[in-house]
Amino acid sequence: MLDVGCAWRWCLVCGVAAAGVHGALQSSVSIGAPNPCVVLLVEPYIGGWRGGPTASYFHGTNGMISSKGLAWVSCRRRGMRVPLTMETFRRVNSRFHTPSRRMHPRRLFLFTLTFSVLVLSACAGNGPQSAIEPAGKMAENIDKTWDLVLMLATIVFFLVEGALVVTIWKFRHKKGADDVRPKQIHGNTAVEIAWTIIPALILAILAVPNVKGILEIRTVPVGDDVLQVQVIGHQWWWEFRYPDLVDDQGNVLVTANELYIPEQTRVNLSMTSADVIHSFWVPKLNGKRDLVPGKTSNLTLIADAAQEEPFFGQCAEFCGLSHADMRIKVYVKSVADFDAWTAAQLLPAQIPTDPIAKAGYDTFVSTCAACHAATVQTPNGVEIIGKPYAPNLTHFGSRNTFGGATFENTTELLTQWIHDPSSLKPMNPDANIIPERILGMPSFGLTDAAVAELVALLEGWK
Amino acid sequence: MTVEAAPGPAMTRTGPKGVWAWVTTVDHKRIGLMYAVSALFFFLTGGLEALLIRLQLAQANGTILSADAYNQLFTMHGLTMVFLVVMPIAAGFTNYFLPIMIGARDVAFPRLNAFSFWLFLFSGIFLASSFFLGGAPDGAWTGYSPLATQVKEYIRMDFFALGAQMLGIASLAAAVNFITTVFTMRAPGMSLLRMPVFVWMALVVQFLLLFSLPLIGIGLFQLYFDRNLGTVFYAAAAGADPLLWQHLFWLFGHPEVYVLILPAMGIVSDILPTFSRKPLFGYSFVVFAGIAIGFMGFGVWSHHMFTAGMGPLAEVGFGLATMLIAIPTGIKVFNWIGTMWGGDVRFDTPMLFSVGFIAMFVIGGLSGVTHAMVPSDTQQHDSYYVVAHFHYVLFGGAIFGYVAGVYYWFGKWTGRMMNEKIGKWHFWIMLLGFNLTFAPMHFLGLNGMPRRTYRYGEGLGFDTWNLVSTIGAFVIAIAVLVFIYNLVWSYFKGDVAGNDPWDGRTLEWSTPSPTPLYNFDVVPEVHGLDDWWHRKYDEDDEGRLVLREDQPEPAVLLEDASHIHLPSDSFYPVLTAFGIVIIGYGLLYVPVGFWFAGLGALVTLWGFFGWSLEPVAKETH
Repeated sequence: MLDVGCAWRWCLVCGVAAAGVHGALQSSVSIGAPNPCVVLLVEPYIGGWRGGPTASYFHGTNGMISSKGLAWVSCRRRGMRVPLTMETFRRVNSRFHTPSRRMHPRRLFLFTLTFSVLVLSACAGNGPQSAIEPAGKMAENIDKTWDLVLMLATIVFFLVEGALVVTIWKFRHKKGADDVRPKQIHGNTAVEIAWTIIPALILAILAVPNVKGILEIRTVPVGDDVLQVQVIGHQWWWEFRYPDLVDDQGNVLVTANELYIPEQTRVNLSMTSADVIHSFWVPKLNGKRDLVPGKTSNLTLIADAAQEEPFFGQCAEFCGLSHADMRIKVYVKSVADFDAWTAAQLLPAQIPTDPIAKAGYDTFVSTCAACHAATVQTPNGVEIIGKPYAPNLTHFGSRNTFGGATFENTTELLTQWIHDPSSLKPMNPDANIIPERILGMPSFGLTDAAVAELVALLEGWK
Repeated sequence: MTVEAAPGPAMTRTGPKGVWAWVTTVDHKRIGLMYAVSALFFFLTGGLEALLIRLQLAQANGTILSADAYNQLFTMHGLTMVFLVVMPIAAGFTNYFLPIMIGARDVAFPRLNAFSFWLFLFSGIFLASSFFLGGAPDGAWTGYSPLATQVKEYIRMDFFALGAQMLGIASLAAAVNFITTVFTMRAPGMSLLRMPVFVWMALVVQFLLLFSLPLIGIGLFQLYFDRNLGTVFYAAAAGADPLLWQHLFWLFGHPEVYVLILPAMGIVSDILPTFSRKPLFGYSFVVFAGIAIGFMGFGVWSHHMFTAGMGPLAEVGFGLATMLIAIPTGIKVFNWIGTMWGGDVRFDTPMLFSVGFIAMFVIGGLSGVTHAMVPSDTQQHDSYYVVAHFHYVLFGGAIFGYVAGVYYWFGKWTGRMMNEKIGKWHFWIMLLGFNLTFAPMHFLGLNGMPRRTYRYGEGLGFDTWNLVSTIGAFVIAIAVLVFIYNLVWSYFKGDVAGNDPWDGRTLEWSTPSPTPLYNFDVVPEVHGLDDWWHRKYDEDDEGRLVLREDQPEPAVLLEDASHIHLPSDSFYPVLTAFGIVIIGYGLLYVPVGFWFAGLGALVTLWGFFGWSLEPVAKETH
């Protein structure tokens, strides 16, 4: 169960920490008055984030420094191709080493950067839902503010906890020394002013990217190239509507739980909720944003590149019984693939000719359509059959997951779901007694044969 | 150098004995002890809830709890720990020590004080009883609408609305009481800037409660009306703005955070000088930093709502305001380190927990600054990173501070000292368990795990750290068992404390242990900050400590204290509180319960009338 890679990375963290402590002990730590670190940290902001706080500084140092900072940071992403040894650490350090009794600020900076990034990379941040492994422009902007605040916080952490440890060690009561008579110092105004102003300055450094970042993430993208998507949160699933993608009859493309977007395209999510407050969170693409009933909120997604695997996310605002199972998959496609997907999704579903699936269709119309809708090619033309209280089933067969993107779309699980949905996902359908308050799908007590017919229908609706 | 504890058997508690004497007591010390014991009891129930939560999350797709049970447990864990553990333990310390520390014989309104305690205890039982009456509240301790008003058929969230309301009444009454006490009952010479930091912080807390509780009170009434009387304060479909609840809740909820932490900061500010044998570094800066935190605490509530959609301007404002609050908090931490610097620092258990408090609180404070970065917070909000953050502040911070207080003052409460050896085991196991449990939650949150989720899937990279966290939770459980063992052992077999076992600085150490009913045989006259210390020590020309030649006479128990007038016991506070909780149970079951509520109202009125007509003090001589 314990992941070996994780343990290995932790060994590295401990190694670097030991090296740092060793270095600190050899040359007593002290920070010179105008700390060059601070200048280094501010510069990229003034320069408008050209590659983040570290790149501009480390660029071009013997290939060990990558865009994210240090070699071993990128190692994590590339599966540890470059081994981090104490030797590498010394080599990097020696580049900045100056023969001084003090720990060079640059060295301290390097150490804290390495340590903080390593601790987090040790086990945080390598999952498919990671907030610090961004894969989209908005999340990358956020990650830069995080990198900065993390680094400053780590420096402050070491300074304050270091001061605490030094103090309690240096002034601990020694056995037998009962005649110690400490000097009764009541305070020192100059010191008080200093430790009021220094934190204020550090916070001032943070304030600039903070304000800049807020304005960045809250700007609603406009323009013809922006893909508009309406997101409606329901207990406990997501409805996605593409108002600009319509078929010949003007029916909007509607899908559920699995969001498809083209790569490198600005996508504007206009979000609201049908019931309680939800929060849309796909960490690799952007931070979270709440969906409040009666209001519309905006979230921008700009994915870096198409990939086979979906991006993972889930509802982040507690929304009742199955909050944990209100998940999201975002598929990022190349523009061509996205167009092909759009074209396929805009086609109406067909009434099956196969007798089993046709029987399933009849059950759909008589039972499921009370809540679920589908755009169907009927003898009278294309019609929307059913109600929009539950996920649209037109292209259910094309989805990889169902039930709030929680369950694999397999025959076995789908059969179990239709028999008794609450056996897979906790819901409260008994409370569906007030109009428009839908708290889950009930079990309809269908026979095995009827369920099999429905499964055949839904799997056929690709 | 230290004043040795007097040998001989522990002194017994003075005053009437028996259960009825405790039920009707108006003595601030007994009420304080009852707060502390109740808080410990609720700490065990809240801890048990936490262990069940951690068991469920130990591995992916956990099946130990149903989603329904999980949602009730995490809601009750939050409500219990905030309202029934940390607030009452702080109230316990405040009750016992605030009057003594300012040289008073009781609080300004002793019967109101008893009423506050009983209403707190009954409301706590009211909330806990929900488990047996159809289910506990399951909408998170924040009770966000419209989720909290969605399903009106179950009374679960009515328990929340009514329980929190009654607890609020109890705290509001206590706030008025303590504010009046501090402003009117200080001993001669005890000017405001000679008060111990703990008294200052407790005072700031009372003002926070006084101004914030009415806000949540309004919100809770609206919630109750929406659920039971058909109003639409939070119904979006009727045009209401569901964010109204969030604003009202956090306008209370953020000051509440300081309500929980400031008394612990006060305790630590009094413990550090004692064990460093040095005065608090920058007393007035520490005090004014606390006041500043109190003020700023009202201006940052919306940082709990950075993802709710308030608009960029509000986000900028609240983001920057939140950053600013790091400054007074930093001042406190630096002054604590400054206090120890140059001292003769002894690591008895109270000191270990105080230093642990500083070390852990710094981590929680720094992760708090990362939340003030609004862009970064949109990732961390409602994730396990936030869970890690506030546990570092409220467990590593507040709880460590209060445990330090228990070890520090146990001798004053019971006449016997806590066992030091067991205490040290307790500290190290607790520190280990605490960090094992909550440090991994930072990683889980950054890795995308949202809070309040009863299960998580495989392949998200959540497994390892959740398992570590669960193991840590059980290490904490061991530490708590060690603590309880120590409490029981020390109560019966601990060393005799004597008046002043730690060579203390503040007035409570001038009284016998346990403190007699009348506190001081002669009301002390105060000549400066740390008055008791300066009766024992002088500073020489270099500013170093010297023992005074004229040591104060140790206070002894008066054989006959009948000349000291104390307020009489009263049955009416507990009766009034009981009437109110009957109203609470009645209001759960609309409309038939209204009859029951009416009965409760009659009992309450009986209590009020009896209270008003009762003579203030019996003539006892």
